[in-house]
Amino acid sequence: MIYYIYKLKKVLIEWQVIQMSITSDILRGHTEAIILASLLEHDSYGYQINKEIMQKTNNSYELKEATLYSAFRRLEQAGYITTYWGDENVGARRRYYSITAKGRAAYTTYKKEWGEAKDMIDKLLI
Amino acid sequence: MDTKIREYINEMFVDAPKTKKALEMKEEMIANAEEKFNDMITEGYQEEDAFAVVIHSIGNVEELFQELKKRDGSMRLYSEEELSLQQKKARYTAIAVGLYIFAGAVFFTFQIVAESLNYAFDIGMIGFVITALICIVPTVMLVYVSQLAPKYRKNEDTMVEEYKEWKSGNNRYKEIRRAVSCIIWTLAIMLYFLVSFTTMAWYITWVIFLIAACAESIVQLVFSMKR
Repeated sequence: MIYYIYKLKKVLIEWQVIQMSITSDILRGHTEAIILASLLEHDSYGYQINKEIMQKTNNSYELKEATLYSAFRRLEQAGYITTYWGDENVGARRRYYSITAKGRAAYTTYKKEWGEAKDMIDKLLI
Repeated sequence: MDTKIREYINEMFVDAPKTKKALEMKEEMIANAEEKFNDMITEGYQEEDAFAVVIHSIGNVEELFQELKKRDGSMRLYSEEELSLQQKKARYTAIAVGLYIFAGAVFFTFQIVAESLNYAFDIGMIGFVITALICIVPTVMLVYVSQLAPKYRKNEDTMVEEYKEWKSGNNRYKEIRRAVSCIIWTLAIMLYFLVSFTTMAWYITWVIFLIAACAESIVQLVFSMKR
């Protein structure tokens, strides 16, 4: 019985994913800003960032790991985030990221530009 | 099941460049994947399903490897084989140089002996021949060492790197050719003196050099056929 519930759950998620195909394309372009946003309050690591994104979007959007990692590298190269290894005593080591002042400035600019883009598209699409 | 994730990701990284950055990325991936897996188990998913979802969520890492291949500051981690290869090369080169010095010493020893004693046959010449024979060993070693050199591995998949790779392969051919030429001419000179002093037929023994030139051409032919 429980097995069928899980199967149903999976089918529902797949269906949702199909609905989201356009949205996920748009969202993927903003991966870096999304990551910076989740680092504003506190440092975090890969899986935790992804988990927060899933929670905030009610489980409808999840970043592919490959997308996440390439975004991390780009952000690091641009100097927007720094990284350090955690000292876990159980399990594999976690790689933590923290946002820099430069990153915060970039994020503020980004948010403003996104707001302007959003307004323009809203005006154009009646 | 925990080790299965680590094994799978290790397998995935088999073709990745062996740099520090790549290793760190692998470590990070494993940590995130294992935590995701454990969370799903806690939520009640079956092990196989959780594993499948975790693997699927990693997505296509090929592009990641492309980015990692681009030259960055981190040093290339040399594999164990490459390090022992370097040691081997150094060892053989040192022995070769030692043998050359030894050959020189032998030659002069024979010269001294030839001066002091006075036998029927020419000790000095014998010394020369023995020296030349000894020299064969270090020369062979050096040729072997130059063959051992690891091929230039390209850092990126670009035309520039491919050209450098081709050029290094080309250089090895040239080195071998030069070594072989060296051997041929040394042998020629040696034979010339040997035969001339024994037969005293200086008016004809110079033909040996023509034969040497012929041998050179044959060697060149063989090499170009191999290419």
